[in-house]
Amino acid sequence: MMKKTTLTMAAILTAAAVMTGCTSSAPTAPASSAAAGSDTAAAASGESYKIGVFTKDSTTAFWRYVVQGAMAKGEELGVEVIEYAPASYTDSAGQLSMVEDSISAGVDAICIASCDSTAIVPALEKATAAGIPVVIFNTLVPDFKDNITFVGVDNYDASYRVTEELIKAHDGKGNLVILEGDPAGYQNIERTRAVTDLAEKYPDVNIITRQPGYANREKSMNAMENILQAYSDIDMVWAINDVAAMGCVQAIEGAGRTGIDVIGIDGTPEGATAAKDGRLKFTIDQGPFDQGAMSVQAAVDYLNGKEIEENYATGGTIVGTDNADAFLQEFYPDFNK
Amino acid sequence: MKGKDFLMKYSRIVILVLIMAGVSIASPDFLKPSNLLNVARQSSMLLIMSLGMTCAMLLGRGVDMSIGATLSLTSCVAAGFLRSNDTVGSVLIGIVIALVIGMFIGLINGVLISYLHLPAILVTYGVREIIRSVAFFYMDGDIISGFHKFVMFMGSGFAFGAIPTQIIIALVLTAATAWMLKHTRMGRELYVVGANPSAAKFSGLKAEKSVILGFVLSGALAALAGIVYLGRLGAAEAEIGNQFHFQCVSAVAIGGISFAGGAGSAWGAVIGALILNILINGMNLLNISSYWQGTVNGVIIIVAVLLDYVVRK
Amino acid sequence: MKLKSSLLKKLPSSGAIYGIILFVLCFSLVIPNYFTLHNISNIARQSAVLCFISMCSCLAILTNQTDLSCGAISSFAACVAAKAMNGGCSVLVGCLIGLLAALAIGAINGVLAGYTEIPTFIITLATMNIAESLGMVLQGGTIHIPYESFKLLSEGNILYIPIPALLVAALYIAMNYILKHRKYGTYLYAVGGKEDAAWTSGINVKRMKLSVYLINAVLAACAGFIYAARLSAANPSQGNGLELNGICAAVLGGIVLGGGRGNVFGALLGAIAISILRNGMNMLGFRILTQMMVIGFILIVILALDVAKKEAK
Repeated sequence: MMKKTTLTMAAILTAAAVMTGCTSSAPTAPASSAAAGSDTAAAASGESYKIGVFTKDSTTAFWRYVVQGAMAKGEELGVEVIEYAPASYTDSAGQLSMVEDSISAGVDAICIASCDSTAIVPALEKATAAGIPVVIFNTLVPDFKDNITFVGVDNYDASYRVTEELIKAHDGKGNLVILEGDPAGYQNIERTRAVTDLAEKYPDVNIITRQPGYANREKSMNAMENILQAYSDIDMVWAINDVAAMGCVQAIEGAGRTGIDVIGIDGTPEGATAAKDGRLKFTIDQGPFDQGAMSVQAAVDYLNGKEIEENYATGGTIVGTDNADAFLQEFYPDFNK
Repeated sequence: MKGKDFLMKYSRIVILVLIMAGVSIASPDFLKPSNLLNVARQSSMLLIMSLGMTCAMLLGRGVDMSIGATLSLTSCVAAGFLRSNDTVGSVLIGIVIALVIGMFIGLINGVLISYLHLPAILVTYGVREIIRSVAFFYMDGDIISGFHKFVMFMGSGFAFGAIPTQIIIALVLTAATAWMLKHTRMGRELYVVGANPSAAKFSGLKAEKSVILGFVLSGALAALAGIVYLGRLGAAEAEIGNQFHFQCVSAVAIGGISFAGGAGSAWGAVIGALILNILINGMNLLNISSYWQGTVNGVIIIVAVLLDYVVRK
Repeated sequence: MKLKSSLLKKLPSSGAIYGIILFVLCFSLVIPNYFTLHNISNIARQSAVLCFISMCSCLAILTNQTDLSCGAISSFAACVAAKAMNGGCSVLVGCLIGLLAALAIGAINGVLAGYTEIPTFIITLATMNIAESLGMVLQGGTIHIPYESFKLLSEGNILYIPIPALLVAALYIAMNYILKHRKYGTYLYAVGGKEDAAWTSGINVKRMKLSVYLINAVLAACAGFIYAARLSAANPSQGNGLELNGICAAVLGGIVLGGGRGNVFGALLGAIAISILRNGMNMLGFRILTQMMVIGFILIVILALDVAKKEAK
């Protein structure tokens, strides 16, 4: 009995030691964000605010850039930025728990890109009830009315613009494949709505199939391979984001097919590099660094009693073969070295 | 009697043939050479991973849940050595590094399972969580792309003009594994330890060594699969490979492995991987929503093991 | 005095209780606002699903079986209920339909488990795939729940106690009573401990095994409803990984792999311990990757120490 107790205590102590030993260090690589919103020198206040930045997952490149932008702005302003991200964007319950736990831990503001725009509403209402200002970024949460601002792109708008570029490059006609993300995701619904609206506007554009790749490289690649097998005449492929688009590109190249143009959304450096090399037709920048940085800025400004805008737009550049190099030089000079 | 024996021995091939016949009747496009090659190509990755899973499961200790994570970590670490402007020597070093890491993970699994008698499913799950997070920390969201043409050739190239290299690599590894399992002492010992642990002990066999070997092989094959996968995906990111463990277990179960250990073969893994992918392919050709794939998978697993059970009675 | 010793006897002989005490101590020292009613009720809500699933794993392990499908069944039941509610059913009717759907899958599990010798690992792996796939076929993604009142299942309080906590308490008290004081319980332990002995003493082992999977299906459905109530939405993939978490929780709580031994409250404590750990790490701002490493590490350490304990005897 004694031995068992001591052994178990030893186990727990080891675990506890491991626990406290693993500090929550996040990357603080300098973000080369161009003209990050307005603002002048640091918020002079002596208080160090705690700003919680919630991203959709902790591992994809896009969200790492968001966090880098947020952290850099946090350093500049002298506030503490804490990153909260579930392991995958499908874990909306995990994100909900994180919001709740951050409220308990006493964050001063919440900046959030929600995994599920409906499920997160109760948690955000709790935040508002606790007097914590909420900044929504990247993906709208239409049912939550009390956010202090929105930072990011209009998903419908961004998708519309880049898809129209593609259609125009094909003289307004051709067979189009939609490789969407999670069919029920709000961001997906908005982005694909743009494509279907454009297909109506350009009657000679045919949407020949619509398959889910779940914004995952492998799944998108598999889906695309199957689509290539089933359809011999494809002109354009619309993918939910750059990662999915690259999966499609790889599938097309692996199958030895030519003459198919793929577009993505997000403007990640990988997408831009592929555009530079002519493998990807277009992508559109979402401005991840700015999303992170401007969210933190807006939160801090609000806490300091300053006026903030209702909407901060980020990104917007369509990246194609001709401007890809310049884009990379400006935002991601160290990519893939 | 004879019919029953035939069925027992070749039940898997019978199922495979029946499924192929069924799919080709439903959709004549199935038998097109380009389609068949596509199916074989898509099965290659799963096959290589399933070979490893087979080696681990022959021991009868349980499944290896960590192979997906091993694939991810080994390919991410090796990726740095496989860039397009690296030398062939560097590529070889990268492959060796991947193998070493994979085998080391297998070693940890094997030691914990054999010497400490820990249940395989939980140990490999714990190791998986740790290795996954190591991979994620290592990459920190970055993607490495642009690999050496040799790697790309392995993963998405065509040999002799028309045959995807992946298939050849997968088949070579299968033959090698099958040979090792049947004709080398250490291979045969994997079976013995699984089939009859007490007899093994009696004849002086050190079960621990075999268990470690089984999991080391699993790790090594996952690492090799990782290299090929890099060529197939064209990019390394920490997220890849996460669904493989369940797919592999499905493939080897359909292929006829015994969960108690001691029975199963490399060629069984081939059949299992093929059946799974043919069904998916069939559903795609027939335009059946991909949502149904899981149900079909599940049903075929039950049918396959049920068949075994009924035939054995 | 008498009350105290009988209470002590009821304390489970697992290390999880010490783990909980230690975690709580450490966290309350390091985190301000830790020991608040608000945080405690958060933990209660966040852990409810795992507590239910942990019971599923507990029952399966006690009878020397595996249930990998409980996670998928929980999502499937929630999706069916949500779809029914969207189709006009009331909350109660919707949940009933979801329950029936879960029982259907549970019945497949139970019949195959009880009446054939197919390893339960593979049966539940297959039904896991089927359940998740059927959930996707229903709507291919998240189904939102149209009734505000459903949220109360997770977010509501009765006399300041979160409803999920009351449900968990009711479940565990009831199960403990059944397992300790009723014939069913004795039979259950017998089937897990020594199946042949159970046979010879006239216990209908087949029916017992079947019953476990039916009960698990019901529990999984309840877990699914609580999860969906938290989000006001049901998603077919929401249960991914829950089954392994459940097994971890049960094992950490002292349910012995191999069957026949362990107190159900151990499963509860294991689930609570994991939830407390998660909550504390979230409050400390640990990245999810760090959390994964910690939990993987703790799992292996506890397993090893458990084995060391056993060998020391």
